[in-house]
Amino acid sequence: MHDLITRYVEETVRNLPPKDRTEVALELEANIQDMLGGDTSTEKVEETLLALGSPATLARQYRSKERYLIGPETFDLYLMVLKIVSLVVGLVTMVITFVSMFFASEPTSIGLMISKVLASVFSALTSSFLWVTITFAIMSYYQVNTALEEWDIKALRSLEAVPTRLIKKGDSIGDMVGLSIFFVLLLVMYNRPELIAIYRKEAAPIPLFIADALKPYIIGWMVTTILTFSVAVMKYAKRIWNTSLFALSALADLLGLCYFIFLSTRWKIYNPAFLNVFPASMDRWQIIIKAACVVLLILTMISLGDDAYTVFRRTRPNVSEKAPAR
Amino acid sequence: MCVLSQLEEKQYGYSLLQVLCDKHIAIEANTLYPLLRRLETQGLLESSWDTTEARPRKFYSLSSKGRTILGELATAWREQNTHINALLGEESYA
Repeated sequence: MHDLITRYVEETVRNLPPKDRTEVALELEANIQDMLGGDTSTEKVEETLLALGSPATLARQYRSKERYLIGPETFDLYLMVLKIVSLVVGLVTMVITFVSMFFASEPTSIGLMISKVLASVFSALTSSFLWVTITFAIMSYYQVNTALEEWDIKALRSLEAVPTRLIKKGDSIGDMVGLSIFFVLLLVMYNRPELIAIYRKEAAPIPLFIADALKPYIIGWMVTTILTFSVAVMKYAKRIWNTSLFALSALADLLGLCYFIFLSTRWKIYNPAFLNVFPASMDRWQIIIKAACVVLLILTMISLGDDAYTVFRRTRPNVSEKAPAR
Repeated sequence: MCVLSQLEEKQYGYSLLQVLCDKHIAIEANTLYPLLRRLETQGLLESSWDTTEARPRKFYSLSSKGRTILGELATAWREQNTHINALLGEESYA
Protein backbone atom coordinates (compact mmCIF):
# COMPACT_ATOMS: atom_id res chain seq x y z
CA MET A 1 0.00 0.00 0.00
CA HIS A 2 1.13 3.54 -0.69
CA ASP A 3 3.05 5.12 2.14
CA LEU A 4 0.97 8.32 2.05
CA ILE A 5 -2.26 6.39 2.62
CA THR A 6 -0.85 4.61 5.65
CA ARG A 7 0.23 7.92 7.15
CA TYR A 8 -3.12 9.55 6.37
CA VAL A 9 -5.10 6.73 7.99
CA GLU A 10 -2.86 6.64 11.06
CA GLU A 11 -3.10 10.39 11.48
CA THR A 12 -6.91 10.22 11.30
CA VAL A 13 -7.46 7.40 13.77
CA ARG A 14 -4.93 8.85 16.21
CA ASN A 15 -7.63 11.39 17.14
CA LEU A 16 -10.31 8.76 17.77
CA PRO A 17 -11.20 6.75 20.87
CA PRO A 18 -8.99 3.60 21.02
CA LYS A 19 -11.90 1.18 20.64
CA ASP A 20 -12.88 2.66 17.25
CA ARG A 21 -9.38 2.91 15.80
CA THR A 22 -8.90 -0.52 14.19
CA GLU A 23 -12.33 -0.61 12.63
CA VAL A 24 -12.19 2.92 11.22
CA ALA A 25 -8.66 2.37 9.92
CA LEU A 26 -9.66 -0.77 7.99
CA GLU A 27 -12.77 0.85 6.58
CA LEU A 28 -11.05 4.09 5.61
CA GLU A 29 -8.26 2.19 3.93
CA ALA A 30 -10.73 0.11 1.89
CA ASN A 31 -12.64 3.25 0.90
CA ILE A 32 -9.49 5.05 -0.23
CA GLN A 33 -8.47 2.03 -2.30
CA ASP A 34 -11.92 2.06 -3.91
CA MET A 35 -11.60 5.76 -4.69
CA LEU A 36 -8.21 5.15 -6.33
CA GLY A 37 -9.74 2.50 -8.53
CA GLY A 38 -6.48 0.60 -8.95
CA ASP A 39 -4.42 3.65 -9.90
CA THR A 40 -1.68 3.81 -7.26
CA SER A 41 0.41 6.58 -8.79
CA THR A 42 1.52 9.23 -6.31
CA GLU A 43 -0.43 11.95 -8.15
CA LYS A 44 -3.69 10.02 -7.91
CA VAL A 45 -3.12 9.22 -4.25
CA GLU A 46 -2.37 12.86 -3.47
CA GLU A 47 -5.46 13.99 -5.34
CA THR A 48 -7.69 11.52 -3.48
CA LEU A 49 -6.33 12.39 -0.05
CA LEU A 50 -6.70 16.10 -0.77
CA ALA A 51 -10.34 15.48 -1.66
CA LEU A 52 -10.86 13.76 1.71
CA GLY A 53 -9.57 16.82 3.58
CA SER A 54 -7.37 17.11 6.64
CA PRO A 55 -7.15 14.06 8.94
CA ALA A 56 -8.14 16.21 11.94
CA THR A 57 -11.38 17.33 10.24
CA LEU A 58 -12.19 13.80 9.15
CA ALA A 59 -11.61 12.50 12.67
CA ARG A 60 -13.94 15.19 14.02
CA GLN A 61 -16.65 13.94 11.64
CA TYR A 62 -16.13 10.41 12.91
CA ARG A 63 -16.38 11.53 16.52
CA SER A 64 -19.57 13.41 15.63
CA LYS A 65 -19.50 15.61 18.68
CA GLU A 66 -17.32 18.57 19.46
CA ARG A 67 -15.05 18.37 22.43
CA TYR A 68 -14.71 21.16 24.96
CA LEU A 69 -12.85 21.70 28.16
CA ILE A 70 -15.89 23.60 29.36
CA GLY A 71 -18.99 23.36 27.20
CA PRO A 72 -20.94 26.38 25.98
CA GLU A 73 -23.91 25.50 28.18
CA THR A 74 -21.86 25.64 31.38
CA PHE A 75 -19.61 28.52 30.43
CA ASP A 76 -21.74 31.31 31.95
CA LEU A 77 -22.04 29.44 35.22
CA TYR A 78 -18.30 28.79 35.13
CA LEU A 79 -17.58 32.51 34.76
CA MET A 80 -19.95 33.35 37.60
CA VAL A 81 -18.43 30.81 39.98
CA LEU A 82 -14.95 31.92 38.97
CA LYS A 83 -15.81 35.55 39.78
CA ILE A 84 -17.27 34.75 43.20
CA VAL A 85 -14.48 32.38 44.13
CA SER A 86 -11.70 34.76 43.10
CA LEU A 87 -13.31 37.67 44.89
CA VAL A 88 -13.92 35.78 48.11
CA VAL A 89 -10.61 33.92 48.09
CA GLY A 90 -8.68 37.08 47.20
CA LEU A 91 -10.23 39.20 49.95
CA VAL A 92 -9.99 36.48 52.56
CA THR A 93 -6.35 35.76 51.77
CA MET A 94 -5.56 39.45 51.92
CA VAL A 95 -7.18 39.92 55.33
CA ILE A 96 -5.65 36.80 56.79
CA THR A 97 -2.16 37.60 55.53
CA PHE A 98 -2.42 41.10 57.00
CA VAL A 99 -3.66 39.85 60.33
CA SER A 100 -1.05 37.13 60.55
CA MET A 101 1.67 39.69 59.88
CA PHE A 102 0.57 41.73 62.87
CA PHE A 103 1.11 38.69 65.03
CA ALA A 104 4.48 37.93 63.45
CA SER A 105 7.35 38.26 65.88
CA GLU A 106 9.95 40.02 63.74
CA PRO A 107 9.18 43.54 62.46
CA THR A 108 8.87 44.04 58.69
CA SER A 109 8.90 47.02 56.34
CA ILE A 110 5.76 48.25 54.57
CA GLY A 111 7.16 47.29 51.16
CA LEU A 112 7.86 43.76 52.31
CA MET A 113 4.37 43.51 53.82
CA ILE A 114 2.69 44.60 50.59
CA SER A 115 4.74 42.24 48.46
CA LYS A 116 3.99 39.40 50.87
CA VAL A 117 0.25 40.10 50.65
CA LEU A 118 0.37 40.35 46.86
CA ALA A 119 2.29 37.10 46.59
CA SER A 120 -0.10 35.15 48.79
CA VAL A 121 -3.16 36.65 47.06
CA PHE A 122 -1.68 35.74 43.68
CA SER A 123 -0.94 32.16 44.67
CA ALA A 124 -4.40 31.77 46.25
CA LEU A 125 -6.06 33.11 43.09
CA THR A 126 -4.06 30.84 40.82
CA SER A 127 -4.92 27.74 42.77
CA SER A 128 -8.61 28.65 43.04
CA PHE A 129 -8.68 29.26 39.27
CA LEU A 130 -7.10 25.86 38.76
CA TRP A 131 -9.56 24.05 41.00
CA VAL A 132 -12.67 25.74 39.64
CA THR A 133 -11.54 24.96 36.10
CA ILE A 134 -10.74 21.34 36.92
CA THR A 135 -14.11 20.89 38.61
CA PHE A 136 -15.97 22.31 35.61
CA ALA A 137 -13.88 20.34 33.13
CA ILE A 138 -14.77 17.13 34.97
CA MET A 139 -18.45 18.17 35.03
CA SER A 140 -18.34 18.85 31.28
CA TYR A 141 -16.63 15.54 30.62
CA TYR A 142 -19.31 13.59 32.44
CA GLN A 143 -22.01 15.93 31.10
CA VAL A 144 -23.38 16.88 34.49
CA ASN A 145 -26.61 18.83 34.07
CA THR A 146 -26.00 22.30 35.45
CA ALA A 147 -29.43 23.78 34.77
CA LEU A 148 -30.81 23.96 38.30
CA GLU A 149 -34.42 23.70 37.25
CA GLU A 150 -36.45 23.57 34.06
CA TRP A 151 -37.13 27.02 32.75
CA ASP A 152 -40.75 28.02 32.50
CA ILE A 153 -42.81 31.16 32.13
CA LYS A 154 -43.11 31.50 35.91
CA ALA A 155 -39.45 32.46 36.06
CA LEU A 156 -40.16 35.36 33.73
CA ARG A 157 -43.16 36.51 35.76
CA SER A 158 -41.17 36.61 38.98
CA LEU A 159 -38.43 38.53 37.17
CA GLU A 160 -40.58 41.32 35.88
CA ALA A 161 -42.07 41.84 39.34
CA VAL A 162 -40.48 44.61 41.36
CA PRO A 163 -36.83 45.59 41.26
CA THR A 164 -36.96 46.65 44.92
CA ARG A 165 -36.62 43.03 45.97
CA LEU A 166 -33.13 42.85 44.50
CA ILE A 167 -30.46 41.50 46.77
CA LYS A 168 -27.43 43.72 46.55
CA LYS A 169 -24.45 41.89 45.08
CA GLY A 170 -22.13 43.61 47.52
CA ASP A 171 -24.15 42.35 50.49
CA SER A 172 -23.91 38.71 49.45
CA ILE A 173 -20.21 38.98 48.67
CA GLY A 174 -19.65 40.76 51.97
CA ASP A 175 -21.44 37.88 53.69
CA MET A 176 -19.29 35.34 51.90
CA VAL A 177 -16.03 37.10 52.73
CA GLY A 178 -17.03 37.63 56.36
CA LEU A 179 -18.13 34.05 56.79
CA SER A 180 -14.95 32.70 55.17
CA ILE A 181 -12.77 34.75 57.50
CA PHE A 182 -14.89 33.61 60.41
CA PHE A 183 -14.49 30.01 59.29
CA VAL A 184 -10.71 30.38 59.23
CA LEU A 185 -10.89 31.86 62.73
CA LEU A 186 -12.89 28.84 63.85
CA LEU A 187 -10.24 26.57 62.33
CA VAL A 188 -7.57 28.43 64.27
CA MET A 189 -9.70 28.19 67.42
CA TYR A 190 -10.11 24.48 66.89
CA ASN A 191 -6.40 23.86 66.49
CA ARG A 192 -5.02 26.40 68.96
CA PRO A 193 -7.80 27.33 71.44
CA GLU A 194 -5.16 28.58 73.87
CA LEU A 195 -4.39 31.56 71.59
CA ILE A 196 -7.45 33.42 72.82
CA ALA A 197 -6.12 34.50 76.16
CA ILE A 198 -5.01 37.34 78.31
CA TYR A 199 -1.40 38.16 77.60
CA ARG A 200 0.48 39.84 80.40
CA LYS A 201 4.06 40.81 80.77
CA GLU A 202 6.17 38.47 82.87
CA ALA A 203 3.46 35.85 83.22
CA ALA A 204 2.10 32.94 81.26
CA PRO A 205 -1.01 33.83 79.18
CA ILE A 206 -4.31 32.73 80.67
CA PRO A 207 -6.52 31.13 78.01
CA LEU A 208 -10.21 32.05 77.92
CA PHE A 209 -11.42 28.55 77.14
CA ILE A 210 -10.75 25.04 78.31
CA ALA A 211 -9.51 23.48 75.09
CA ASP A 212 -10.91 19.97 75.48
CA ALA A 213 -14.36 21.19 76.47
CA LEU A 214 -14.55 23.67 73.60
CA LYS A 215 -13.35 21.56 70.67
CA PRO A 216 -16.46 19.42 70.03
CA TYR A 217 -18.67 22.53 70.00
CA ILE A 218 -16.54 24.26 67.39
CA ILE A 219 -17.26 21.55 64.83
CA GLY A 220 -20.97 22.28 65.15
CA TRP A 221 -20.25 25.95 64.75
CA MET A 222 -18.33 25.24 61.55
CA VAL A 223 -21.33 23.36 60.18
CA THR A 224 -23.70 26.26 60.84
CA THR A 225 -21.16 28.64 59.28
CA ILE A 226 -20.99 26.51 56.13
CA LEU A 227 -24.79 26.48 56.02
CA THR A 228 -24.98 30.27 56.27
CA PHE A 229 -22.28 30.51 53.63
CA SER A 230 -24.28 28.36 51.19
CA VAL A 231 -27.31 30.59 51.76
CA ALA A 232 -25.13 33.61 50.89
CA VAL A 233 -24.05 31.87 47.68
CA MET A 234 -27.69 31.18 46.84
CA LYS A 235 -28.59 34.79 47.48
CA TYR A 236 -25.83 35.84 45.12
CA ALA A 237 -27.01 33.43 42.42
CA LYS A 238 -30.73 34.29 42.67
CA ARG A 239 -30.28 38.04 43.09
CA ILE A 240 -33.92 38.49 44.01
CA TRP A 241 -35.73 37.71 47.22
CA ASN A 242 -38.46 35.12 47.15
CA THR A 243 -40.36 33.50 49.95
CA SER A 244 -38.44 30.24 50.04
CA LEU A 245 -35.09 32.00 49.85
CA PHE A 246 -36.13 34.22 52.73
CA ALA A 247 -37.27 31.20 54.75
CA LEU A 248 -33.93 29.51 54.15
CA SER A 249 -31.96 32.60 55.01
CA ALA A 250 -33.97 33.18 58.18
CA LEU A 251 -33.59 29.54 59.16
CA ALA A 252 -29.81 29.69 58.71
CA ASP A 253 -29.54 32.93 60.69
CA LEU A 254 -31.69 31.62 63.54
CA LEU A 255 -29.84 28.33 63.61
CA GLY A 256 -26.51 30.14 63.83
CA LEU A 257 -27.85 32.36 66.59
CA CYS A 258 -29.34 29.47 68.58
CA TYR A 259 -26.10 27.60 68.28
CA PHE A 260 -24.14 30.60 69.49
CA ILE A 261 -26.44 31.00 72.49
CA PHE A 262 -26.25 27.30 73.20
CA LEU A 263 -22.45 27.39 73.00
CA SER A 264 -21.87 30.52 75.05
CA THR A 265 -24.05 29.26 77.87
CA ARG A 266 -22.09 25.99 78.23
CA TRP A 267 -20.37 27.27 81.38
CA LYS A 268 -17.86 24.44 81.54
CA ILE A 269 -15.98 25.69 78.46
CA TYR A 270 -14.76 28.80 80.25
CA ASN A 271 -11.52 28.72 82.10
CA PRO A 272 -12.12 29.58 85.79
CA ALA A 273 -8.61 31.02 86.00
CA PHE A 274 -9.52 33.51 83.28
CA LEU A 275 -12.70 34.57 85.04
CA ASN A 276 -10.82 35.10 88.29
CA VAL A 277 -8.75 37.84 86.65
CA PHE A 278 -11.78 40.09 86.73
CA PRO A 279 -13.28 41.18 89.99
CA ALA A 280 -16.64 39.61 89.22
CA SER A 281 -18.36 36.50 90.45
CA MET A 282 -19.43 33.65 88.20
CA ASP A 283 -23.04 34.83 88.51
CA ARG A 284 -22.20 38.30 87.26
CA TRP A 285 -20.26 36.75 84.39
CA GLN A 286 -23.21 34.59 83.39
CA ILE A 287 -25.53 37.60 83.43
CA ILE A 288 -23.16 39.50 81.11
CA ILE A 289 -23.10 36.62 78.63
CA LYS A 290 -26.87 36.19 78.75
CA ALA A 291 -27.33 39.92 78.16
CA ALA A 292 -24.99 39.74 75.18
CA CYS A 293 -27.08 36.86 73.81
CA VAL A 294 -30.27 38.87 74.17
CA VAL A 295 -28.72 41.84 72.37
CA LEU A 296 -27.59 39.52 69.59
CA LEU A 297 -31.07 38.01 69.41
CA ILE A 298 -32.65 41.46 69.08
CA LEU A 299 -30.17 42.47 66.37
CA THR A 300 -30.88 39.29 64.39
CA MET A 301 -34.61 39.85 64.74
CA ILE A 302 -34.29 43.41 63.45
CA SER A 303 -32.28 42.26 60.44
CA LEU A 304 -34.77 39.44 59.75
CA GLY A 305 -37.66 41.88 60.12
CA ASP A 306 -36.03 44.19 57.60
CA ASP A 307 -35.61 41.32 55.13
CA ALA A 308 -39.17 40.15 55.77
CA TYR A 309 -40.46 43.66 55.08
CA THR A 310 -38.58 43.69 51.76
CA VAL A 311 -39.89 40.26 50.79
CA PHE A 312 -43.54 40.37 51.84
CA ARG A 313 -44.46 44.02 51.72
CA ARG A 314 -43.10 44.49 48.25
CA THR A 315 -44.08 41.15 46.78
CA ARG A 316 -47.53 42.45 45.96
CA PRO A 317 -47.05 45.79 44.30
CA ASN A 318 -49.91 48.17 44.10
CA VAL A 319 -51.64 47.41 40.83
CA SER A 320 -52.57 51.01 40.07
CA GLU A 321 -48.92 52.01 40.28
CA LYS A 322 -48.02 49.61 37.51
CA ALA A 323 -50.72 50.74 35.14
CA PRO A 324 -49.41 53.13 32.52
CA ALA A 325 -50.44 56.73 32.98
CA ARG A 326 -53.09 57.99 30.61
CA MET B 1 -32.45 10.34 4.48
CA CYS B 2 -30.87 10.19 1.03
CA VAL B 3 -28.28 7.78 2.35
CA LEU B 4 -30.84 5.59 4.10
CA SER B 5 -33.03 5.43 0.98
CA GLN B 6 -30.23 3.85 -1.08
CA LEU B 7 -29.40 1.14 1.42
CA GLU B 8 -32.23 -1.33 0.87
CA GLU B 9 -29.54 -3.31 -0.92
CA LYS B 10 -26.21 -3.50 0.79
CA GLN B 11 -23.50 -1.16 -0.42
CA TYR B 12 -19.97 -0.27 0.56
CA GLY B 13 -18.80 3.28 1.04
CA TYR B 14 -17.49 4.08 -2.42
CA SER B 15 -20.27 2.29 -4.34
CA LEU B 16 -22.87 4.23 -2.35
CA LEU B 17 -21.04 7.47 -3.15
CA GLN B 18 -21.30 6.67 -6.85
CA VAL B 19 -24.96 5.65 -6.66
CA LEU B 20 -25.80 8.96 -4.95
CA CYS B 21 -23.67 10.90 -7.43
CA ASP B 22 -25.49 9.27 -10.38
CA LYS B 23 -28.77 10.39 -8.85
CA HIS B 24 -27.55 14.00 -8.55
CA ILE B 25 -27.00 13.94 -4.81
CA ALA B 26 -23.57 15.46 -4.30
CA ILE B 27 -22.05 14.31 -1.04
CA GLU B 28 -18.37 14.48 -0.15
CA ALA B 29 -16.55 11.27 0.66
CA ASN B 30 -15.30 12.78 3.91
CA THR B 31 -18.91 13.41 4.94
CA LEU B 32 -20.35 10.12 3.81
CA TYR B 33 -17.90 7.68 5.43
CA PRO B 34 -18.18 9.08 8.95
CA LEU B 35 -21.95 9.44 8.46
CA LEU B 36 -22.30 5.73 7.66
CA ARG B 37 -20.45 4.85 10.81
CA ARG B 38 -22.58 7.19 12.94
CA LEU B 39 -25.80 5.78 11.47
CA GLU B 40 -24.50 2.34 12.34
CA THR B 41 -23.79 3.29 15.97
CA GLN B 42 -27.30 4.76 16.15
CA GLY B 43 -28.62 1.36 15.07
CA LEU B 44 -30.11 2.53 11.77
CA LEU B 45 -27.69 0.49 9.66
CA GLU B 46 -26.25 -2.99 9.84
CA SER B 47 -22.79 -3.76 8.58
CA SER B 48 -20.79 -6.78 7.55
CA TRP B 49 -17.26 -7.30 6.27
CA ASP B 50 -17.00 -9.03 2.92
CA THR B 51 -13.65 -10.75 2.64
CA THR B 52 -14.36 -12.93 -0.39
CA GLU B 53 -12.79 -10.45 -2.80
CA ALA B 54 -9.16 -9.39 -3.04
CA ARG B 55 -9.77 -6.42 -0.76
CA PRO B 56 -12.02 -6.66 2.30
CA ARG B 57 -14.93 -4.22 2.18
CA LYS B 58 -17.44 -3.14 4.76
CA PHE B 59 -21.01 -3.40 3.49
CA TYR B 60 -23.87 -1.45 4.99
CA SER B 61 -27.62 -2.08 4.75
CA LEU B 62 -30.78 -0.81 6.48
CA SER B 63 -31.72 -2.32 9.83
CA SER B 64 -35.39 -2.68 10.73
CA LYS B 65 -35.11 0.41 12.94
CA GLY B 66 -33.52 2.26 10.04
CA ARG B 67 -36.40 1.25 7.78
CA THR B 68 -38.97 2.66 10.23
CA ILE B 69 -37.05 5.91 10.64
CA LEU B 70 -36.70 6.23 6.86
CA GLY B 71 -40.47 5.89 6.49
CA GLU B 72 -41.09 8.60 9.08
CA LEU B 73 -38.51 10.92 7.55
CA ALA B 74 -39.97 10.45 4.08
CA THR B 75 -43.48 11.30 5.29
CA ALA B 76 -42.23 14.40 7.09
CA TRP B 77 -40.23 15.43 4.01
CA ARG B 78 -43.22 15.07 1.64
CA GLU B 79 -45.42 17.10 3.99
CA GLN B 80 -42.84 19.88 4.24
CA ASN B 81 -42.45 19.81 0.50
CA THR B 82 -46.18 20.24 -0.05
CA HIS B 83 -46.26 23.22 2.29
CA ILE B 84 -43.23 24.86 0.73
CA ASN B 85 -44.55 24.25 -2.78
CA ALA B 86 -47.81 25.84 -1.74
CA LEU B 87 -45.87 28.89 -0.54
CA LEU B 88 -43.95 29.15 -3.78
CA GLY B 89 -47.14 28.59 -5.80
CA GLU B 90 -48.70 31.74 -4.35
CA GLU B 91 -46.20 33.81 -6.30
CA SER B 92 -45.08 33.08 -9.82
CA TYR B 93 -41.56 31.84 -9.08
CA ALA B 94 -41.95 28.69 -11.10
